[in-house]
Formats: sequence, C-alpha cells, structure tokens
Amino acid sequence: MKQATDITVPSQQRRAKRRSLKAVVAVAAISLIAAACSSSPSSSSSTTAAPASTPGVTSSSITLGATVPLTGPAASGYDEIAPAMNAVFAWKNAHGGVYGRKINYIYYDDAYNPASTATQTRKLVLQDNIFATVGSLGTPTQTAVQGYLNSLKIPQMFIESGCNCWSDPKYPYSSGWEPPYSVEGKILGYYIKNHFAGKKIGYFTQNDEFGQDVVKGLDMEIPSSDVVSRQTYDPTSLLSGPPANQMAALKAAGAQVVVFATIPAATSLAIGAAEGLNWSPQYVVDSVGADSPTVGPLLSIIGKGKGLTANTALNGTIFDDYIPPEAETSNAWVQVEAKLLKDYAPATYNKYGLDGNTEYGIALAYTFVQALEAAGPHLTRQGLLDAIARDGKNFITPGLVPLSYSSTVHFGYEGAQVFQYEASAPQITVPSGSWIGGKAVSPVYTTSPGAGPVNVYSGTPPPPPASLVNSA
Amino acid sequence: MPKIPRPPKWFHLPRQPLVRHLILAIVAAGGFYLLTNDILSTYNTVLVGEIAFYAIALGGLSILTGANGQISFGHGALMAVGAYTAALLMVHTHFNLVLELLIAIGAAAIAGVIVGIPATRLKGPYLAGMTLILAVGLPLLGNQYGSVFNGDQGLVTTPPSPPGSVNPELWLTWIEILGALVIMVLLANLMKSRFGRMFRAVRDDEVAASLAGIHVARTKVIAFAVSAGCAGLAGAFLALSSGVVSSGEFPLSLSIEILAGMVLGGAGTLVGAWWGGIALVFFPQWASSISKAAGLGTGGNAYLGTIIFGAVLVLVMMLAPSGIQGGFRRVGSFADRRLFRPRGGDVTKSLQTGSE
Amino acid sequence: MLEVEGVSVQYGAVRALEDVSLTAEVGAITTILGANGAGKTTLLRAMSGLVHPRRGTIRFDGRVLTGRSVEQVVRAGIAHVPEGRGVIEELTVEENLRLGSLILGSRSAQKAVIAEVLELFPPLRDARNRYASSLSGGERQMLAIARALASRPKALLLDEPSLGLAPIVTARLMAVLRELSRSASLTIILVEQNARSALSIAQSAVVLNLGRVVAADTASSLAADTNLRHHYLGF
Repeated sequence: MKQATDITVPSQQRRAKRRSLKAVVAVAAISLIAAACSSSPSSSSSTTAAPASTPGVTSSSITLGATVPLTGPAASGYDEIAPAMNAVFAWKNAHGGVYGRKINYIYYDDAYNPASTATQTRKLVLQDNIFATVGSLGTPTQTAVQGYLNSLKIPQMFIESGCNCWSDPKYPYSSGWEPPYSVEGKILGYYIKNHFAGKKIGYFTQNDEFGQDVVKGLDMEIPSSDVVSRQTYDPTSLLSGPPANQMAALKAAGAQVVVFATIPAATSLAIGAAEGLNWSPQYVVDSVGADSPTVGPLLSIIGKGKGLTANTALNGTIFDDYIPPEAETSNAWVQVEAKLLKDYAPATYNKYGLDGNTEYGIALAYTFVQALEAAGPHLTRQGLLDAIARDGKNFITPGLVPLSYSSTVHFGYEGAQVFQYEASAPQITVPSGSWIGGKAVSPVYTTSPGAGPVNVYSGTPPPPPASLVNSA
Repeated sequence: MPKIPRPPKWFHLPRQPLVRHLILAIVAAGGFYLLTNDILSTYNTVLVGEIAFYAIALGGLSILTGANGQISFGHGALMAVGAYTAALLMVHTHFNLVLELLIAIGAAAIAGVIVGIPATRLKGPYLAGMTLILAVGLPLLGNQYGSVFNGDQGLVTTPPSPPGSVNPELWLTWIEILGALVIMVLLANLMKSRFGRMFRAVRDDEVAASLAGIHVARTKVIAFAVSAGCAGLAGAFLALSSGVVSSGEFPLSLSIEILAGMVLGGAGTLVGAWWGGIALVFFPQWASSISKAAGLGTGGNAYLGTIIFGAVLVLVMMLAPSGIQGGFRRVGSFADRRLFRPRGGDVTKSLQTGSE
Repeated sequence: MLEVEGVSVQYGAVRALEDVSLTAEVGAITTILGANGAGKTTLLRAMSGLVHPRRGTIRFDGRVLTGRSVEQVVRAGIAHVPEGRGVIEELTVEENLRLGSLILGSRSAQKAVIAEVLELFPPLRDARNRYASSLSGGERQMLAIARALASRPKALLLDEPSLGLAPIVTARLMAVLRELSRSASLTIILVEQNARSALSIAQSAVVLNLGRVVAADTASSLAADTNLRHHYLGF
C-alpha cells in the first residue's frame, strides 16, 4: 500500500490556531466584562476584615435591607408590605430621623426563590453595607440566609413568617414579629373547641410548614375525634385549578366547620369551589388568608357569572388577627396608620388603601422604629438586640397583645383575637371596593407556640402615642 | 500540492486534545485566580462562582441538545436531584466534599438514564413535553416527603471550610471554578472522542448512524446521562452557594433559563456555556443598575431583568441563531480566510480529474 | 452468501414486498432492478434490518438475520449504503470513516482500514479534514461507500449509487465496484434505476415489479431479453 505523506492540511492548523486564540479572547473577555461590572471599589479584600465602626450606620443615616417577593406567584399582596414599611421610615425621616439618622430602606426581589434570596442578601451585605435586615419575607427564603447572616453577626430582624425557627438560640441574631403559626392554630382551636363542641371539623391547609404548624396548634386544642377530614394543597398546583377535590372530600366527610390555613388565593379558590358544590360550611380562616380586601377581589373574579358575591360568601367567616382590623375605623391606631400611608406612601395608598398587607407593614416598621430608638444614639448591632430584649415588652405598637421579646424569646406577638365577618359591621373601603368587615367574638388570647394553655389577656392595648398622632 | 503558509510556531497548541484542553484550562484557572483574588469585589466574586456552576449545567445541556439534538426542558429538575443528594449527604454524613459532589453527580446521572430511556422514543415537541413534566413534577417531591426533605424549610447545607484566613465566599468560588474547568476539560475531550462523533452522527441522521453500526438508543441515553451529571454538579454547587435546598429553588423558570442561556451562548459549544452563564447571572444585575439609574426604584426593576433577557434572546435568535459563540466563530473564520489565503489552486479534486 | 426466502414486507396496509426470494453469491454483483416503487429499496432495508419482514427468512453465511436489530446485522458484516444518505454532514470525511470503522475494535485495525479506503478514493484523501457537508455529490457518494467499506463488510448493499452522478463518474464508480467484488470477495447487491450500467457489471440480476419478482437470471441473459427490457427496464 502506498505510504501517504504526512500532510498537515491547512484547515487543521487553522482550527488549532482558532481555538487557542478564541480561548484567550474568551478568558480576557470574561475578565473585562466582570471587571467592568465590579461597581464597589471598596471591598476588594479577600479576607474578612473587622469593621472599625458599625456597618450601615453613619452620623446621618441607617441602611436597612430586605428581600421580598416582588415578582412571581407569591408577590400578589406581599409586594405591598415593603412600600408600606417605607411610609413609616419616611415619616420618621421627615421628623428628624432616629437620633438625627435618616433611615434608608433597600429591598430587593427574590421571587420567593431561596437561591435568589442568597444572592440578593449577599448584595445587601457586601455592596449596600446594610446595618440589618428588617421585614424580609418567607420561611424557606430566610432559612437560606439565616446561617450566613448570623455568622456575620448581622441582625435578621422581624422576619415576615410565623415559623417557630426564628427564636433559636443557635441563631441569636434572628427574630420574628408576627405570631408563630402554632400560636394562631392554638387560639383558633381553642375557640372552635369552646363554640363548636361536638361538631365535625375539617382542615384545609397549605402543604408546607405554615399549614403544618397551624395544624399542630389546632390539634393541641381540638379533640382529634372531632376532626373528620384533613385536606392539603400545594401552592403551585393552585395555578392548574381550584381545589375542588379537597372541598368535595371535606363535604363528603360531613365537615360542618372547616379550618383554613391558606394564602388568600387558596382561600378564594376553595370557597369558590365549595359554592360550586352548593356547600357553605362554617369557615375559620387563619389571618394569613383572611383579609377581606385581599380575598374579596379574588372571590369576585371567581364568582363572576356564578351568582357568587364576595361579601356574601365571606359573611359569617371566623378569623383571627393580632392588630386591630382595618374595618375598625374608630380605632386610633387604624386612623393613624391610614394617615401615615396616605401622607408618606400616596402611590401605595391610592392603589391598595389600608388593607391587611399595608397595615401589617406599617405596624412592623413602627415596631422597628421603636427598637432603633430604644437602642440609643450609639447604635450597634448588639445594642439593637439588647434593646429589644430589654425593652421589647414595653414597646407601644398596634398589637392587641404586648410583644414577647426577651433575652431568650425572639418572637414578637404571641397572641391574637378571634373575629367574625358580619354584614352589619362597618365595611372596609379601599380603592378596589368595599369589603365586609368583622366584629370581635372573643377576648384577646395569649399562648406559647408549644404546649401550654390558651390564656385570656386582660390588659388594654395602649393607644398610639401623641407624638405619632400629631405628626403623622 | 500547493504550499500553504504555516502559522507561527509559538501559536501552535499540541495536537492531542487532552493536552490542549488541559493547557487551556490551566491558563483559564490562572485568569480566574487573578480576577477573583485581586480585581473583583467580594460580591462580584460570588457572582463569578455562580457563573461557573451555571456554565457546568449549560455545558452539559450543550452536549445533549447542541451535539446530540435532544431538547430538554427538564434540567432544573436534574439540578434538584444533585442539590438534594448533596444536601442530604451534608446533613446526615460527614463525607468529604469531593465524595459528596461525586455522589451527587452519580445520582443525577442515574436520573438522566431513567429519563433518557423513554426519551429515546420521543422527538421534538414530545420530548420537550416529557421533560417539561419532569421539571414541574420532580421538585414537588421535595414537599411530599417532608420528613426526608424537610419540606418548605429545606435542608441546610454546610459550606466548605476554607484553610487559614481565606474568605469562605472566595473559597467556595474557587471550588466552583475548579469544578467547572474540570468538567469543561472532560466534556471537550468527550466531544473529540468517538462518543462525540456518535452523538453528532445520531443527531444528524439516525438511520445512517444505525447503519454505521451505532447503537442509537444507547448513544442517546449516554448523552442524557452525561448532561444530567453536569446538571447534578451544578445543582450541588447551587446548594452550597445558597445555603439551603428547598423546592422553591427549582421552579420551571430555572429549566427554561438554562435552555435559554445555552441557546444564547451557543448550542453545541463549551465556550458558549460561559457566555450563557454570564448572561444568566449578570442580566438581573445590569437591569437593577439600569433601573436604579433611571429612577425606577427597587420595585420597578423586578421585572426589568426578565424583560431584558427576553429581548436579548429574541435579538440573538434573529441576528445570530447559533448564539454568541456561533457569532464569534463566524467572525473568526472570516478573519481566518483573510489571514490565511492559500496560494495555490483549489485543494479539492473531483472525480473527473482523479488520478486513476 | 446472502439468501432471501419468501420475504413479505408490509407498511401498514401497503404490501411493499410479496414473497420475494433471491440468492446473492460471494464475489459477485447481484443487481436488483425495476421501476420506481417496485420495492427495491424496501428489499434492501429488509436485508439490513431497518424493516422487519412479516414473513420469510433472510440468511447470511448460514446465520438467520430476520428480525434482528440493525446493529446486529452490521456486526454480522452487512453494510448498507442508503439512497442519497449514509454520510454524516456534521462530521469531517475522516471522522465519518472513523465512525464506519468503529466496529473493528482496535485502533490499529481502524487506522489501517481508513488508510486503505482513502487510497481507494484519492479525492477523499485530499478532502480528509473537510466537513462532509462541503463535499460535492460525487464525493459524498464516494464517502458513503467508503464509510461502509471501512467496517470491512462481507456484503455491501448499495441503493442507487449513481443517482445524480455524471455518466463518466458513474462509469468510474461501477469500475471500482467490480474491482471490489473480485479482489475483496465482497457480496455486492446493487439496486439501480440505471439498468444498463448495472447489468454491465453484474453477474446476476433480479427484476421486481409491484413488490414481486418477475425475473431472475444471469445478467447477460436478462440483458439479452429485449421484451423484458422494454417492459420493465425501459430500454
């Protein structure tokens, strides 16, 4: 056979050259692009250096951060909270700030995705140099950064979630604010035990730690023999249709009282599904999914053409709350909250008015302002934690019960009151419409998240201080 | 035979693929070290680490879709398999990190085989549909078996502890970059090997490939397994970088982002995986800066990133369907033709002038 | 020796082949002729395992191959060059050949056969590192045959190799095939529309019409039968 000479065909050489050239260009391009995006010239050290002064605090400002769902399925409703919080901070800034420091509140969207939460939180810490996070939302999202923030001794304050996990000695820099879900569950269960003894009870709860913790609380009060059906749902599956199967199962089991641990979308879809089955049991709904200005518009969409009106469907529904319901327009707190929102976040006020979400935001932010003031003019991270542990119980907030903060407890409110939507009660009027309001049907209760009795709280919540009312 | 000018000696990379790829990888590693250690801020270093593990997932998908021609909308779910495996190992065992990563790769590769076998019977939209179901359904399992997967709260991962006083974020980024470069070398060698030829043969013409003696179904499953293993490693790094593994980290949008990133960077290329990674990580950041500059505030920018990404994707598809890297290649070959014009006649001969 | 006995192939309701039998001898070229749609391509596909006959047997060197997978048929030594295909455009000429030689196993065996095949087709040797998509029609056909030969087959099935090729090119191709059948003791089955040039190199011929065998004889006898030629072969 003829020996072929070793011809290095030009195309082969060209390809080899092409590849090496390209590789170098690629690495160079990546470096250039990344360097161009490097916006912070200060923190370029490769080791963590201990800051000389408190990060996020200057003589004229305090920088706070948060990650919240502004896009995605969790956003609706929850995206109102951060702007409402900003109303309180703007009010405070307009009145001299906290010891002369203006509050700068930076919040980023994490779309309820813990991976995004991790990136955005690092951005807040490394680029925006925050003093603390306040009002970040979600359990899986905040669990993702709990270790990171605590390892850097950055306070993770007033997390918007009722998980039991925020009061954990392993993570001393984290704390909650709203009542733990099991507290709400116990209180609702206690009410059901006393008012619906002997009736058949059904549960319809979200298939995650929120629903599971509410159920834990319910089961501590309601005898298990009374519970005839326990249905759950997945928030993502709501996108494919109403939980008709679950409601049918509850109806078939003969449930007379159905307890909901649901987000507003699920509440409205479930009630709509029940109406479709010509069934209206007694609904008992956890505060998370009970706000009528949030649930109402959803129900109206669902009920269109089916003869279902939101206010009629919600009439008689029992729910819990831990701050005065926005329907109580004679309540001094409700009045000042509305004024704050209107004056300092007019865009949000004009869009949503004072509904459950905006009220939540204002109450939370006002609590935090008290904490900043209690920490004194020499503001440090540890100082903030100590001030809350020491004075938290005495903060004047809209809450129906005092805050529980102590050196060992990092929960805010550990109590609630039970209400019932009634057609005769004054309605809640917001830009989206007029929605049914409720009346209190129980005293205010307190209880711990774990085992322990439900107690009646006999104190009176303090009214808003004159300094707030006069300057709002 | 006309004389063809040879390019200068110093620009010659050795002809063996493995050595060539290793040299490129080492050069890149040096570049990354300088970048992350001296040039970039800590935050941007974390982002470079993210680019690295996204590049791993995109590179694997490039093999499957670009080289082997199978479309997958399900690679977010395969990342979830790797992430959960790694997290479970971190929670319940004290295994060495490398071992944990290898097991995560293996678990995802097995998942890739399980998915790949029925996939051999499906084409185009049907395959896409099946992988779509996987992307939506698999992460939901994380919510079902709450006792194992810790439901909503998720499994907390322990980041690897760095030696000495090195910043842990930097250390993790280096590990991610190292992992990405190792994978790139392996994938590049795979593509140059007979497997790479088999992948492309099957993609081009299944009948011709089978007539050449290739086991078409087996080749397709191998491609799936390889790409799944890459996704699994990327998922494990995602688990380490975000600190927790829960189903909320693997929405459908992740699978679609990975596919879009691969297309944008250049399907079938490995350098394209890095372009795609840069796009996925930096577009939201740039959107954030743009909206801040435009005074839209932190609320308005939330959707801007998605809009920008979508717009760029549409532009790239219209102007350069083979992605960014494809565009570079065209520029490169255009430059080559100018730089190395052969001095003789056409090298090819047709049958008519044959020597027999 | 390749034996086809009573093979019937159905595509759904369509009977593409009905009770077809033929024998192809080693070292000879057997040509299968007939009009379009007569079933010639289907017969080749049945031989290589791309379709499985409803009835009948296919035997090669005494081994029954009916119903086996394509990979197994290839391993048994049958190489099929389909009409207009057989070349992987995504790969270079050399890579196509390496693909074809994969089943030989050892690297040295692969390298040896590739060198031999490139000698057989000098234009391919010159275009070694070009992508198959850049080859002309004639070069592609050569590559398809070369790739099939790279597996050192014992039988070569060719489906209309002269399609689209200039007459002078076809003539050269036929010459190569004749040389191969003699020197490599290959069993060649050649499906052709161009009956004249096929009969000029073949030893035996089979004529198909509407899925059935209408004539089977030596090539010279068939070529001499003017009636048959007019009726079925168009010349």
